[in-house]
Amino acid sequence: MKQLSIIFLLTSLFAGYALFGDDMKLTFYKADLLEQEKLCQNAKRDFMQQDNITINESDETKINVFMNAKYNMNTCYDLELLRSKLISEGISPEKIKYLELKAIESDSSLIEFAAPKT
Amino acid sequence: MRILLFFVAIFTIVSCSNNTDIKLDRAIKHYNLKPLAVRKFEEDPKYRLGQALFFDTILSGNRDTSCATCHLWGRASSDNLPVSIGTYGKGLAENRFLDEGRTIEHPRNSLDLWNRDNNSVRALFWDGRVEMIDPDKRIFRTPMEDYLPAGLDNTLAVQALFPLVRPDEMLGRFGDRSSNDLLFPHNNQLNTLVTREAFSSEKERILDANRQILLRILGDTDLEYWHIKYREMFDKAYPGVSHTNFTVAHIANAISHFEELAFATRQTDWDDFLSGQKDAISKEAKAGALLFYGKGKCVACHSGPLMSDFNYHNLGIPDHGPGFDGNGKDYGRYTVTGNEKDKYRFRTPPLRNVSRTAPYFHNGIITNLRDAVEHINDVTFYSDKYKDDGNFMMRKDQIRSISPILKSGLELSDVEIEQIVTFLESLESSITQDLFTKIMPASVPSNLEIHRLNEEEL
Repeated sequence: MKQLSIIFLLTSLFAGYALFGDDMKLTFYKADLLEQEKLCQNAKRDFMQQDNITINESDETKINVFMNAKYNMNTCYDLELLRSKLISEGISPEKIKYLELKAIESDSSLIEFAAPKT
Repeated sequence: MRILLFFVAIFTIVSCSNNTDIKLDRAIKHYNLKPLAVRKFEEDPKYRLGQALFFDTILSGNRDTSCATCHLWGRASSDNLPVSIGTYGKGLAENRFLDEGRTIEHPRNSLDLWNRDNNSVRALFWDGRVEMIDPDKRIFRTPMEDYLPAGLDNTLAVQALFPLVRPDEMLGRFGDRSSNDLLFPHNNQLNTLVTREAFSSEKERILDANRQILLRILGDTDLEYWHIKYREMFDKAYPGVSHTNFTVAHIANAISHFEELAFATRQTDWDDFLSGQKDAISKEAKAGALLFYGKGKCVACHSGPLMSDFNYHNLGIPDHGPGFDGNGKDYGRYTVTGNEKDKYRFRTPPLRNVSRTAPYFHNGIITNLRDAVEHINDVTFYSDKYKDDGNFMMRKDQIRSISPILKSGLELSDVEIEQIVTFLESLESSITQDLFTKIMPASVPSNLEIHRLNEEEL
């Protein structure tokens, strides 16, 4: 009886993994993916807006803001790295894209930087 | 199953911490971060003279205030008060109060003194009214303009001159009588530093006060015991200079020399980390550093080796306390430049030892570091708040000129704010007992009381 239970459990696990493996992996990385997407889109927005927000600032502050904006663009590399990792593990790009868009749906100021251009 | 979960947890922790280290290395390279170079501690005659002058209340008109009164060693060279209380005060640090019947006049929070000899320091005071224009030719911009005494070594020395001659800091006023007696026959002696009430100009008043301070320290004909001691110390500190050639610049240079050596941040965890000790700071501090240099945008103003750009920004701090004009308002940098764009902007404070120098901002309105970071997270916080009298805490022009770099908010979570605070705590320097005894004198030439905190207050 005990052996049967173990076999049943293992079979269920394998079957579950075969059917929902991608979703399980995605669930594991979901929080990270959402966070990275927001950071990247914020970085893009800040990079675009730096001239406007430093118009009355000293040259040194302009450079500091530029350096910070440039550094924050690293988050887009980190996002791309994570995206590649998930795709290489068999998760469909469509599922990843869906989650990425969901990550910023509540922030209208980010949407123009992330939404597909029409 | 438990074993499996254990390995998954270990794998997650290890991979996350590796990830943090990689990202932090990236930040270090991007911003070219290096451990802070600090001058070697050396006790020379000029240091000893500066030390005596820094701690001796005889430099103040009423003999009740020294540099150490508002720059206490036990409070990391600040005083733990929202705005400082100079002359006419009793007690120290958070227990310092004005004499009965007097109201607070000094408008601003006491700035710390750490690492002010660093080359990156361009301006001192909250409004930057002392500025270095040309370090090689030692050209400074100050309210004294052409009246500034010659021979000043650096901005710190220039800065040291100003508290000496401010009535609410050290100078006091015409007719004051000191409650701090010198030894017989000086009981309740008149303030000899302010010779008369009215002068043709503020600069003339300051020049006269400078002359009187020098006379008070070195004497003229009838020498007192402290005159003799100070003359010996000046001779050793400045060999070859005759007594008649000493000026207030020699006083300021010696104080500056002492401050440079005594208030240098030695052995901070962050500098150890930058030197290659990867375990010198905690995981939380590393996460905080990443936020500081990344999403938190702190580095936009807190840049460079001292974590200050020595530029001026409006961070949405409402008026609080007496104000610079005595009517509760403080226009900050505008009072120096007269430029409308500079209204309500204040100089970015350096951050070394910042966790020990509460309260924060130019008027000390925020009492702890966590709240200070939380305010930066939302610099418009006070813009819709009311005062007890029913008026808004901030005026429209104050709100309009809040720095656009931060105005839209940083969206830092509570955890992230804590992480930044933990990182800022890693900027604390360690203080050895040996160093403490070298900085704190046993006595000063005047034999007046030294302002230092006792064990319970530390």
